[in-house]
Amino acid sequence: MNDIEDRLRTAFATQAATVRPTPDAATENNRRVRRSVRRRYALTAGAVASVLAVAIPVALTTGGRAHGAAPTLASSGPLVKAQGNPQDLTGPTGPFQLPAAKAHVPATPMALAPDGSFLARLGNQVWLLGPSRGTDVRKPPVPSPKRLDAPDTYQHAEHEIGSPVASAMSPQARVLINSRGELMCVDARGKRVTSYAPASRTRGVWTDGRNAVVSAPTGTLQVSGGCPDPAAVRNRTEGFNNTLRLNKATPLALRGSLLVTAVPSSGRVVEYTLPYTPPRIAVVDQLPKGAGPIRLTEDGSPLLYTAANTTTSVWVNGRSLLTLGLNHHEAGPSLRLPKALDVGEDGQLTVGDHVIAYTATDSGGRVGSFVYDLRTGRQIIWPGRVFAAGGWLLWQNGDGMQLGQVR
Amino acid sequence: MAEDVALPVPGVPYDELFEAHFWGLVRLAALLGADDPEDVAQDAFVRLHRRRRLLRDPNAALAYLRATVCNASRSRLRHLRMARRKHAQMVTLPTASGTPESAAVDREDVRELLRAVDALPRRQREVLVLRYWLDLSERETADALGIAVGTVKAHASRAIAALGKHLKESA
Repeated sequence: MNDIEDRLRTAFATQAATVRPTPDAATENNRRVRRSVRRRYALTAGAVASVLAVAIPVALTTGGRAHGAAPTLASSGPLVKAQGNPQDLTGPTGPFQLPAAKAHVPATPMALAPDGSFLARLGNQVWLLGPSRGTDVRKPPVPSPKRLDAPDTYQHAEHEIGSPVASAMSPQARVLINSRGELMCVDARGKRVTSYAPASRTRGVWTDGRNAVVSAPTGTLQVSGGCPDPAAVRNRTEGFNNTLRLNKATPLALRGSLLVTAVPSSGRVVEYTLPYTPPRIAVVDQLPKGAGPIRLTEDGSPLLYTAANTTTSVWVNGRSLLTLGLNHHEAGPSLRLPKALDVGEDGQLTVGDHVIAYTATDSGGRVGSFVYDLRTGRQIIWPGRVFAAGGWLLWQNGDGMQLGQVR
Repeated sequence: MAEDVALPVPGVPYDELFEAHFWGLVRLAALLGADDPEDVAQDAFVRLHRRRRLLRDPNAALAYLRATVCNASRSRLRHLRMARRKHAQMVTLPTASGTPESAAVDREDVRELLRAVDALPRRQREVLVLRYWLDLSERETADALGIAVGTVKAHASRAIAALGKHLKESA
């Protein structure tokens, strides 16, 4: 045995001696370490992504109107002057911050899910960020966020898919539409990517965690199943689609699972259930009193925004923001938005458990938001994007972002 | 950007540790059969940099580096085996006797022994390399591989017996 051990030592030493040092190992290590440090800085921001397994259905899912262009970069000028700070509404556990200096690029929030996970653009890349689980915000260092613009089953070049013009998010999935109208659904882990037929001229996009719903200006809806439910997908890269036509109504929001809130030319509020062809009308109601004359877009469809949580629906028409109790249809507070936020089609309304956030982008790319606390009546005007979902509030702060739990 | 690399934790300077042990770890990865030993060692040092508190204790830092290299080499081999199964004609699994370095080993008896080591189960090969090339104790070997001391003894014993049998048959 000793003989074999000695021979092993000799053999290993002989083989090891054949590995010759190369001159640039230290330089290469320095480069790798710098890259690693940069990644960690980017993530101090974040707590991460995203094993977001079980979701509590919410009354109205996230998503909304598509913007005509990619989300405005954080460096665009403000549309309003700050009055208050969204941080005033968040608790002591947050906020979690992504300062621009650490990300090295401007950061722009794009969509927020009720569990606190959110989509954000860092430079030219789309990232999924958010709390690691439940309501715990992880302390740095945190795992790497997932990039959405390089999915393994998506063959387009990175720069081609890296500019989503519309996005929606649920705890189970996020839906992205790029400038060519290509629609894809990425599951919460960022691994399963389902591509769908292109959605031309997108007006709005929503997801309930099982379907991607895209509205066209003509009033038709493209309902794409298997987003991200693999059981409903015919194959790994292609989901199924249904194109549904609402009866000359303008879809405004997705409520619950496949219940679309729309406004027809009569000015009433109609909710359609979508799994049927044609969609069935589930509820017909009046628009909230006080909405005033409904604004119309250039093509004549109502220019309204609506969103809801489990107790309250919220409507924005021009400068009017109306709230309505869902249980007894009693009118809630009616508010007047700042004039600067009356910009037309580029608005986005989100409602969390207790907070309303309305963000407007003008034709010059300037952004401003109005935030309202349903419990206290506190109003905040903020020069950046603000999103509310569940118990979370996400806002743009200069070139950075902040996420906090509403207290 | 150089300030990004600065280590705020007092202890062993990272650069000195790299200078002293990098090539030893590259050789360790090569002996364990990694397809790109230098890349394995580079990654190990980057991981160490993320856990800078380990630099307070040079022994802990080195133990961490060894364990990282062992794990990375093993997972690369596993990955390559999977790839080879999928694309049998495209991927060639590296072996100690099949690497360019081994071609420089000109003694037939050494080549024969290295081929026999290649044929051993992965764990047995790891134990032999750590015990007889790095001269680690059984305890240190167990720590590096994340296994019990008794398991190290068993693997070493079986490996030596297998090598003895192989050499006897080929003699």
